Amino acid sequence: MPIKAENVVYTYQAKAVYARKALQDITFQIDEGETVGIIGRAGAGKTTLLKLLNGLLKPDAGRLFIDEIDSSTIKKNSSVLIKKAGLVWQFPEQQLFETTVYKELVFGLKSQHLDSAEQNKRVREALEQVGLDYERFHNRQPSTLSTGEKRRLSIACFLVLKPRYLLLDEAMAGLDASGTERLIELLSRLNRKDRVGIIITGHHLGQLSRLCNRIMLLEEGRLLVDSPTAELTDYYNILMERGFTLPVHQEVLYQLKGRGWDINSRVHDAEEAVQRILSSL
Amino acid sequence: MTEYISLGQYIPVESFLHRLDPRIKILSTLMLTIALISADTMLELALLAIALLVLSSLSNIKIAEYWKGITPFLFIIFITAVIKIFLVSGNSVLSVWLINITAEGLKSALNLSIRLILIIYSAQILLLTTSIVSLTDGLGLLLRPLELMRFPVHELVMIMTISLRFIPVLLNESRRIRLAQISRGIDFQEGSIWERTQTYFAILVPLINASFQKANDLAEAMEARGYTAGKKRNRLYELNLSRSDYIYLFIISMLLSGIIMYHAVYPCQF
Repeated sequence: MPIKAENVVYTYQAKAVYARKALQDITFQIDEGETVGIIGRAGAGKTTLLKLLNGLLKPDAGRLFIDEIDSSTIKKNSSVLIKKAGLVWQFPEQQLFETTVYKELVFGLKSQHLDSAEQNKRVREALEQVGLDYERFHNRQPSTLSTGEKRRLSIACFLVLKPRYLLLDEAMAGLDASGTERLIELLSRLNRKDRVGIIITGHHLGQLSRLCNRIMLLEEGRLLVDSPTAELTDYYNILMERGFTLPVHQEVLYQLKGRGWDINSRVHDAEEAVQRILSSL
Repeated sequence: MTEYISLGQYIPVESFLHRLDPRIKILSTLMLTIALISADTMLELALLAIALLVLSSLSNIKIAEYWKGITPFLFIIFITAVIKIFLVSGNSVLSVWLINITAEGLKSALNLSIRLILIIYSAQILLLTTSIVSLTDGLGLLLRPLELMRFPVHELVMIMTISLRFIPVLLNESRRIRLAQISRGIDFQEGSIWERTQTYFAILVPLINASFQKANDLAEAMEARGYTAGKKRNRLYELNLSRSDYIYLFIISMLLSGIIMYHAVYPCQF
C-alpha cells in the first residue's frame, strides 16, 4: 500500500512568535517498493517530512496516509506507524545502548510480545539483511564495532520490526567512501530482495541517484522537483542553481545534447549512457 | 531547534531594561531586596510595590509573564503565612482549643506574603530581562575584586556559563534520543515500573555518552582557539556603563536610602 500525502502543511511552534513553516502544501504518492531520495538545503523540511511519515509529527493541515492509515487518527507516540515506516535518524549509532548486539536488537521487540523463537529468528534475519554474521557478532559489545558496522547494526534494529518502509535521515553522513558504498549496496539489496521501500534524505545527488529511482527536491518547505531519477536532466537548471550536480553520465548526455547531438538525455546508468553515445556515433 | 530554547525565564524583546548593564540590574535587584526586607509597614510595602510596577513597565513584558514566575512560589508563601499566623501573639480574634489566632498574627502574615511576592517580583525584573550569559558575565565582573584574594572568579564564571549553556543542549539531545528510540519501537509507556526504569537506560546511556563526547569536543575546541586556564585575559565585549545605567542605579539607590531614612526617623513599630 502506498504513502499518500495530500496538501500537507506543518509548522513548528505554530502558536509561538517563533512559528516557522517547515512544510507547505506538499502532495505526492510513494508506491510500495519505491526508492525515493529527498534533497534540499539544510532547513528545507527534509527531516520534518520523514518525521511526519513516521508518525512522530502530525500534519497541521492536509492528509497523510501510510498504508491506508490516516496519520491524524493515531495517538501520539503510538507504535502503529513506527512498525510501518522505521525512521533511521542521523548518526543512528549514537542511540545504541545495550551491552550486546543481540540484546540491542531484541530491545525494540519487547513491546511486540513475541515468543523467544520468533525473536531469535528476527534477530538472525535482520543481522543477515545488513550483512553482519550472527555467530561472529551477536555477543559483541556494540561500542566495540566500527562506525560502519555500528550503522549497519542500528539499521538492523529497525529491520527486526519488519517495516514496509525505511526512512533514513542523512544516512551517509560521517561514513567514508567504502562505508557509503556498502550502505548503498545494503539498501538497494533490501529494496530488491525484501521489497522494503526506501526514503532517504541527503545532499549528494550522485550518491542518492545510484540508490533511488525517484528524486524529490524540497525548498523552503515546498516540493520543487519530483522526478524519476532517469529524467533529472529535465530539471538541469533548477538543480544546478542550487548546487546539486547531476551524476556524470547524465551530465555528459545533457552537454552533448546541448551541442546539437540528437540524443535522449534521460538515462538510468553509466552503461546505458555509454551504449547510447556509441550507437549515435 | 536549539536556538528557540531559552533557558530560565529570559524573554528576548527590546526595552529599556533589556539594554541596561547586567551589573546594574544585579545591584539594583540586591538593593530592592534589601529595601523590601527592611520595609515593615504596609505603607512602605505599598510604595515599593508601586515602584516595582513602574520599573517593570519599562521591560516591555506583560505582567502575566511576571505572574507566571510567582505562581510556583505561592504554595510555599501560603504555608509560611499560615505558620506565621499561629506564631505571633497578641489580641486574640479567634481561639479554638490550642489554636489562637491574633490580629497581629494575621497582619504580619499578610505583611510577610506581600513582602515575599514583591521580592520574587523584583527578581523577575532581573531574570526576565537578562539572558543567562549576560547574567553570569555581570556576576563575574561584580565578583572580580575577589580575585585579589586569589579566588578563581574567572574559572567559576566559566564553569557556570558552560554548565548553563549546556542545559538546553542536553535537554534537546535527550529529546532527540527519546524520539529516535521511539522510532525504533521502544515503548516508554508500557510495562511495569521496573521495566520502564530499564527502558530509560535507552535514553540515559546514549545521553551520557553524548555529554562526554560534547565535553571533550568543547575542551578541544577551546584549546584549539588558545584557551588556557589561569591566564590573565581581557574581554572581547567590554561592558560599558551608559548614562541610563547611572540614572537607573541612582533611582534605585534613592529608593533604598528613602526606606532606610524613613526607619531612622520612625523607628520600627513592631
